[in-house]
Amino acid sequence: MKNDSQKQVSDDSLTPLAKRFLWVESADKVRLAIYILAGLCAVLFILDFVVHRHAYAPNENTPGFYALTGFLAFSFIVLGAGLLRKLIAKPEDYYAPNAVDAEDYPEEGLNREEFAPDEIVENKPGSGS
Amino acid sequence: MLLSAPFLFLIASAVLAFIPQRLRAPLMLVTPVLALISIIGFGTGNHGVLNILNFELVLYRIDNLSFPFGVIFCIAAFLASLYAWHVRDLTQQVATLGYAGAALGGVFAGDLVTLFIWWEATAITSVFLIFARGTPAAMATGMRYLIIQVLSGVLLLAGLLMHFHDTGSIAFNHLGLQSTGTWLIFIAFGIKCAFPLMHNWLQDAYPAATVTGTVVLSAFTTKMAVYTLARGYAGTEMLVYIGAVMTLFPIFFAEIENDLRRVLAYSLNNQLGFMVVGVGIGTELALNGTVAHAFSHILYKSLLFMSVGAVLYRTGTSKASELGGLYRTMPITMVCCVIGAMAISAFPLFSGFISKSLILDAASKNSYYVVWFCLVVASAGVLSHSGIKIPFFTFFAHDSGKRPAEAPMHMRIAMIITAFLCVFIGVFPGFLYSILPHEVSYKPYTFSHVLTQMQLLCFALLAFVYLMKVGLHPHELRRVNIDSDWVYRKGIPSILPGVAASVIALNTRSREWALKRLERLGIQVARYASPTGPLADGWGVKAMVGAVVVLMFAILLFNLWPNA
Repeated sequence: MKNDSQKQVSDDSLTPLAKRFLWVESADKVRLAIYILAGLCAVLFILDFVVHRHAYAPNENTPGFYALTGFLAFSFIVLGAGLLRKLIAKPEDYYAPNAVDAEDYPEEGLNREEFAPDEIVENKPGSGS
Repeated sequence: MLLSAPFLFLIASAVLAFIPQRLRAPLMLVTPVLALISIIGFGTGNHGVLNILNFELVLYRIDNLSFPFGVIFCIAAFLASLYAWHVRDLTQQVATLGYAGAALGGVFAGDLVTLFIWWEATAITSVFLIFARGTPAAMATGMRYLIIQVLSGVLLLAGLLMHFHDTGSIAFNHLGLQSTGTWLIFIAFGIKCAFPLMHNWLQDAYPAATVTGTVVLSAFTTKMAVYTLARGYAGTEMLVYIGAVMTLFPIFFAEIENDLRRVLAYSLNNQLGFMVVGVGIGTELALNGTVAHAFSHILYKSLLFMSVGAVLYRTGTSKASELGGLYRTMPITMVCCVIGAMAISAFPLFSGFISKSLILDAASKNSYYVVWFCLVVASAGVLSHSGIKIPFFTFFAHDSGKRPAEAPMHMRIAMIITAFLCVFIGVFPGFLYSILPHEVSYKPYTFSHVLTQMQLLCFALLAFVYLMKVGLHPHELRRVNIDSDWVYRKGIPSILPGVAASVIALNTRSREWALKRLERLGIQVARYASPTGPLADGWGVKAMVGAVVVLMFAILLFNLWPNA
C-alpha cells in the first residue's frame, strides 16, 4: 500500500527546487553534463601549459601533475576498496546481536512521513509550468 | 567561575530536569549563546585559579589556542540543539548539554588534573547518546565505547601521576615525548583522537547513536583530542606520519561501507588525519591549519551527519543500498548535503578549501614531500566517499521508490544555517583566520592554488564518471566490513571458550598426574620402610665405616674451603 502511494508522486507535484534537478533523469542531459565536465577538465589541463604555477614539492610543477594524480588516486582508491571488500565483507548480522548493523532503527525515534504533494501544490500556485 | 562556559552548560543540563517540557528545547538553544558570551566576556587569561593541597588548578584558561575551539564548540552545540528541537527525551537533552560542557571544560583546562576530570566527563555524558537508542545492541555498543573511553582516561591519569612525579608540575603546556608519563598521556590523547588501530570505537559507536546524538558526538570528543595534542605535542614528528596514515586507510573502508553514518565516521577519521599532520609539523602555519581545519570540519561534518540523519529520520534507514532518488521529495536536505560534500572535498569557495590548504602548504614547505603527496591522494579520496558517495547514493543513483517528506522545519533551519556557514567561511576566510592562534599571512585564493585544486577534483570526478560507466565502481551491498576491532569483538571472544577449556583440562590432567605419582611414591615408601623392607635391615660394619669416612672427608673439604 505504501508503495502505491509512493509511486503516485508525479513529477508535477514536486517543489520548484526539486524540479530543477529533474534533468538527472534524462540520459541525454546527463550525457551533456558529462561532456561539460570533460570540457572543463580539458580546459584545466591546458591551463597547466599556459600558466606558470608556484610549487614547492618535486614534480608539482610538471604539467598535468594534479590532473593525473586526481584521476589515478581516485581510481586506485575505488578499485583498491573493491579488492579490500573481497577480504573483509561479512553478512550484515555478523556482529549481531551486539551491534546495530542488522537491526532496524527504533520507530519511536523516527518520524516517517510520506511526501504530501497537495500541501506543496497550494504553496506554489503558478510555478507549475 | 559559575559563569564560565563549561559550568554554564553543566548548570543548564541540571536545570533541564526541573523545568517543564516546553522550556527545555529553548534552554538548550540559549545555553551555547550564553557560553559564547562568557568566553568572549572573560577574555584572554587564566581564570578560576584554585589552590588545593598545593596543586594549582586552572579551570578556565582562555588563550589563542583554546579560544577558537571554545567558539566552534558553542556554535556546534547551538546547531545540534536546533537540529534536535523535536527531541523530547530528557536523557538525550541532559547528555547533550553535559557533553558539550565537558568538552569545553577539557579545552579550557589549564592543568592536567582538571583536564582528566573533564576528559572522563565527556565519556560518561556522551555514552547516553548511544544508550538512548534503546535497543540491546545499542547498549552493547555503548559499553564497548565506554570501556575504550574510560581506558583513555585511566591512561591519562597514570600518565599525569608519573609526569607529576618526574617534574613536580601538573600544568598542561607543551609536554613532548620525553618520559613514560608523557608517553602514556600521548596514548590517552591518541585513543580519543582515533589514531590507527585505536580508531574503531569511533566507527563502532557513532552510527549506533540516535539521529540527533550522532550530530552531537561528531563535534566534540575527537576535536578536544586534537586540541590537547596541539597543546601538548606540537612539533612531535611522529604525529606527521601517524596523521598521514590516518588520512589514507579510512578512505578504503569508507568507500565500501554501506551505512552512510559509518561512512561519515570513517571520513571523520580521515579528516582528523589532516589535523594531526598539522600538529606534527608544528610550525605556526601548520598549527593555524589544524585549528582552522578543526573549525570548518566541525561545521561540514555536522552538516553531513544532519542531512543523513534527516534521511534516517524520514525513511528509517541510513544504508546506501536502501536509498536513492530522494532528491525529488527532500530537495532542501539534498542541497544542504551537497554543500557539506563540496565543503569537505575542499572545492574553492567552500570552507574545506581555505583550511586544508594551510596544512598541505605547511607539509610541502617543510619538505615532507611523501606526506604531502599522501595528503593530496587523500584529498581525492575525500571526494570519493564524502563528496560523491554520500549525496549521490542517497539522493540520486537508482530510484529506491521512497518518497519521504522533506526534513522537519527545525532540521531544515539548522542545516541551512550550517550550510551558510560552510560557504561563508569559504568565501570570507578572513573571519576564521582572524581567530587562529598565530598571525595569518596566507592567501588561499591564488590562481595556481585554485587551478590545482580544481584539476585534482575535476579529474577525480572524471574518474568517478568513467568507473561508473564501465561498471567498476563497487555496488552498495548489505554487508558489514570487519576492521581491526574484529580482534576484540570476535577474535578474542571466539578463542576464549577454547582457552578456558584447555586451562581446565590442563588443571585436571596435572592433578591426575600428581596423584598417580604420589600413589606410586606411597607404594615405594611402604615397600622400603616395611618391617621386611631393605631399610629395616641392620647395617654391616663395612658399610658403617665407609659412611663415617665419607662424612669426615666431607667435613674436611668444607673446612678447607676458603672463607667458609
